[in-house]
Amino acid sequence: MTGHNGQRVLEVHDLQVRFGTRRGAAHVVNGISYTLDAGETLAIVGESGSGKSVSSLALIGLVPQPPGRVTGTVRFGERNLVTCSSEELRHVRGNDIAMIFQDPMTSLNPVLTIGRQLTEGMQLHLQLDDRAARRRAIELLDRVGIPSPDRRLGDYPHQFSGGMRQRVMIAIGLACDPVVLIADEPTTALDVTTQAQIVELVDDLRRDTGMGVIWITHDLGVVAGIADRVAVMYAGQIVETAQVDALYEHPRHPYTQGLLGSLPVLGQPERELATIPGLPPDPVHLPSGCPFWPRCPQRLDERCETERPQLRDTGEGNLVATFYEAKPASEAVS
Amino acid sequence: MSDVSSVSAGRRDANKVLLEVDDLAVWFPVKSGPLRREKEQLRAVDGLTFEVRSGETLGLVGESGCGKSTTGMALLGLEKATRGRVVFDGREVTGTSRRQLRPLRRRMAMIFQDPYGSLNPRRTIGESVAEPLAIHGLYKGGQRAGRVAELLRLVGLSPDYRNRYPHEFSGGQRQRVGIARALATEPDFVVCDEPIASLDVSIQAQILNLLDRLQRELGLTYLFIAHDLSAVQHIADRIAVMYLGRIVELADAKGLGEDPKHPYTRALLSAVPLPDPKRERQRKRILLEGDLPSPLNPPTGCNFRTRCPDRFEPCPEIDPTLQKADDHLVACHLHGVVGEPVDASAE
Ligand SMILES: Nc1ncnc2c1ncn2[C@@H]1O[C@H](COP(=O)(O)OP(=O)(O)OP(=O)(O)O)[C@@H](O)[C@H]1O
Ligand SMILES: Nc1ncnc2c1ncn2[C@@H]1O[C@H](COP(=O)(O)OP(=O)(O)OP(=O)(O)O)[C@@H](O)[C@H]1O
Ligand SMILES: [Mg+2]
Ligand SMILES: [Mg+2]
Repeated sequence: MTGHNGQRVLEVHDLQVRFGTRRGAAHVVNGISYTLDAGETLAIVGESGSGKSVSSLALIGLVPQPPGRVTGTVRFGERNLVTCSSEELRHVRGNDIAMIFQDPMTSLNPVLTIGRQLTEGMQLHLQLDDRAARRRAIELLDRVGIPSPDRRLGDYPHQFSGGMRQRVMIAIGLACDPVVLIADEPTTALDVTTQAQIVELVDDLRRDTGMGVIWITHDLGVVAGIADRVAVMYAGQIVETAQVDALYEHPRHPYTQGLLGSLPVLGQPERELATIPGLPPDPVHLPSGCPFWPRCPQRLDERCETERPQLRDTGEGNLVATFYEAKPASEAVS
Repeated sequence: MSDVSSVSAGRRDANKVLLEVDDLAVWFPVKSGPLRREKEQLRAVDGLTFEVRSGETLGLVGESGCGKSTTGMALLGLEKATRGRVVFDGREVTGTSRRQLRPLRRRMAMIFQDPYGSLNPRRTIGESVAEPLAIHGLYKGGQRAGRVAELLRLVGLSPDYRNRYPHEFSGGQRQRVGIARALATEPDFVVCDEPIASLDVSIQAQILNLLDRLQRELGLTYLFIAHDLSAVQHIADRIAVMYLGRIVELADAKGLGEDPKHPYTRALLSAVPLPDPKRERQRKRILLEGDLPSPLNPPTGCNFRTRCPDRFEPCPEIDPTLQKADDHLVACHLHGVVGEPVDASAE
């Protein structure tokens, strides 16, 4: 988290993803728009099933179609990634946009050595010969903090701990100097001390390389530490987005406020936890109108149930999709 | 938490010791080596001494693989102790046959991390909740259905749900069923093994508040296992921090949070991300070097020394014991007299 150089690298507009299922169409991503600048960290937060992973996979052509159907635009340089051929998308994924996933064990190939998995992409996309690729692999492993990297190239994934495997995944992601790194819950399976190492690592790399980072998580603590800007997702929509300080200081969407209020905070054990009653909606049966109204403490009238609120500026830097803003937390919690 | 009278009702025997644990160790024999021929001992739990007081919540925190679940299982007699003793309300759990343990087991229960795996998918939730009653021969005949309805209501579920199957419920609802099942036999002591780790944040708060309410209403004693320090600090009265099969620090929740003594506790606290951007930016993290050592081959002396930022001469040589430092018990040569053991129960 620090100032970034401002050049726009990614522009997402009205992205939608639907899946055909036996129960009917699942409306998983419902028109999200955001931008990402070079050197910036955008955090996407939201609960399980809110569409964080699917919307990010859709950016780089990794949503299988069918059963999926992706519409909208994802502007990356001259291209619209939504309409690119699979050939072009493969090129973008190999050279420009890298993605790291939650579970490093399933995303690494268990029967290939770490060295092989690192050099494969480089040889393909950067046309490096064996020796140059090996040298770069050692350099990258060193960069992500694997001790004696030259001796670890011949090892297999199971010989590495969870934290080390996630470092290897990051090294693979960085192999081709990406412009954008999408990190999908890269620390969820890790212990807090290891998580702290990985968070620090990605942030250092962002600062050094100027890449833009999209960090997907449900952990509002992690977000506070790394994000420049935050987008809160609920039922496939962005319900609130703001600079990180503004979001935590004055959350305006009732859902954002509920999430922040439900967290136990280290050092404040006496505070009673607020709860959000009920459950998130099923994407096959989304409520009409605002997706949050069945759980919303602010709901006032039928408008919430019939009309979908669009993101609008509150004048304090928050963009909020709600007709009725939540009061400041101090007034709302009695 | 605002209702002071019910808090003190739940914790009225706060100074009575319900559970005593003395030098508890659980080792697992494992096969290793290239041909899987060598036998080694995996020291999952290696010498724990602590007590749980009636009506309190003792938090047990530590990172993956440090032995928290194994400890919980051993306290209930579900995992055999290799060494040491567990005494529940004056009666020995360790070294007692399952059969003899049964009357005691009725007074102890466990809530598991995974509300999916811990319920039988082919049983209705009513059957699952009634199962412990059948095992212990409680609430016979027509009374049993009434008891099941009462338990479901207690955890905030409609008794009408009793004929449904687990797959029809969300994670948070399943966890409520798991809690109802654990409370069926009216236990005094409940081991909560990461009861909220697999749930969404908005649902975690619902379950934490529920556990808190049940404790007050039923006077329960909890061992609350988690790797999430902020959740533990919210619910626990005292907290024990584990590292590689040992307790490295034990203190009341507030003291542990405000003035951690053991270098591992400090590192752990400093790694917990706070949902507050201003504080997060100012905070200095203590990053630990390297990875958790293998419990097959723990380091000599203090087993944290390989990653400890404050290690000094005695650490590789002498195994620190829990000693009193202010109101904390700490196993670290920086605190107390090197090599001098202390009676943990004398606290
Ligand atoms: N192939 C598919 N067919 C139908 N529905 C799908 C498919 N893939 C994903 N979904 C649904 O899309 C929704 C959003 O999923 P997604 O994985 O993006 O959630 P998420 O926000 O990343 O959640 P988590 O925090 O659990 O990772 C879920 O309800 C999921 O069931
Ligand atoms: N039945 C078993 N046989 C062999 N090793 C075991 C067995 N059960 C647990 N272990 C090992 O004992 C150690 C402690 O495991 P335990 O499950 O108690 O850890 P934990 O602290 O609960 O971790 P987590 O936070 O991941 O649940 C681990 O190294 C584990 O692999
Ligand atoms: Mg996901
Ligand atoms: Mg466990």
